[in-house]
Amino acid sequence: MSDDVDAARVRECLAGDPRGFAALVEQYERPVYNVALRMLRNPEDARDVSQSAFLKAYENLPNYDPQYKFYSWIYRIAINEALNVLRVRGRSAGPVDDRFPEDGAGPTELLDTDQTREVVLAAVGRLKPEHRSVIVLKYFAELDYEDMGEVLGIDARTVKSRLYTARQLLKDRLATCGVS
Amino acid sequence: MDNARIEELIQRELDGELSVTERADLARLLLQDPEARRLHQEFRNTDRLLREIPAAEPPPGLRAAVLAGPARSSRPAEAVRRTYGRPLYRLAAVILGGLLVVGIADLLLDSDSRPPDLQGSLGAGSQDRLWLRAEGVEAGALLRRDGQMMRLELNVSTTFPCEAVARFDPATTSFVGDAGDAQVTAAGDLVNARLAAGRQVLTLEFSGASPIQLQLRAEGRLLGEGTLAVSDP
Repeated sequence: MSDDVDAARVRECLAGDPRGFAALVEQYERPVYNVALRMLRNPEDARDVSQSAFLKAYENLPNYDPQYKFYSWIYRIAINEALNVLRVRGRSAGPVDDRFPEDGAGPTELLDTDQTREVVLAAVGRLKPEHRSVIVLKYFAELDYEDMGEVLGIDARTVKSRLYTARQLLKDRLATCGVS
Repeated sequence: MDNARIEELIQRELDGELSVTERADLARLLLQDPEARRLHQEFRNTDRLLREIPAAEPPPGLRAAVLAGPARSSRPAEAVRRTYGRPLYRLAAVILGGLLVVGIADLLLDSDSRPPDLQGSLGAGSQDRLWLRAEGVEAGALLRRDGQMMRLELNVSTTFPCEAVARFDPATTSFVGDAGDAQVTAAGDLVNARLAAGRQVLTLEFSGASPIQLQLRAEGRLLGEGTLAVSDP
């Protein structure tokens, strides 16, 4: 979706036409939910974060500057909301739905496709938030370095560095499980 | 060639960033070095496994729930016009915020007029930064604009636990998140960060417009407060 179309929808919304915001939600509901889900690994939390992110975006639409990409903005809000959930979760209980085998549990050669995906997602879920967020934005939002940097508020060089580290950690963990 | 360089080439290949020369270098390495081939295979498998994870469908009713929120509230343009929409009001708010900072700083820097339970003094270098210095605590606060976002960076060195309280206008500003080791809670127009003794660096991120009022407290006592403002995007 072009940035111009998003900017036009924002203008519609600010002019009082609810169809503008509805169109933005329709456009970004799925990717925002997927970003939240892959960050949190819990559908209910992902739903809450998605809802909260869109509401915050709506409340702040008058301050939205169309020279920035709308999707970078909404992803940024969603990522920050997800990080808040992780922080609260970290203070209370362990990660939700963490079914990653213990290190050294041995190869899992007979995993079917769904099980393999679960192991991969669990490995993503065990990354530190700073590494998880770049993997999520790269593979589940399909952003490039520049856009990831805009979302995370860091430069492209730092994005690359975090992505390399995250991918290496994932490779090693998956190799330990015999998945990679 | 060391593994770090090989891994960098492989990772850059995954992101489609290799030049023709680098691609040839990698191909040569893969032919010569079994360890490079193993690494290459593992990285490619990891990349493939991540790409093969299908997108999840949002739960039914999410869109309706999202759209129900705005339907209950006024449209965003009206909310802004109602508060800081007119440039004159916006300017007045910034000036009043600045006067508040200067007034509080003058009050606190004058030791004769300092209330007995007040621990610190507050100063304002400009509208976007504040500092606090007292026995056992030093703090600096800086509000930066980053596109649509504002970052309030708080650097506190304290010998006792204290808390930072940020207050904002929810009609124009929204708390987005925080980074740092502090315990942060947010409700309505307030963000509260509990800071342990020691050196603490905390970033609070907001979207929308300033000003943001900041207080530093310890054991229920006000150490200092001020208002931070940056230009709107």
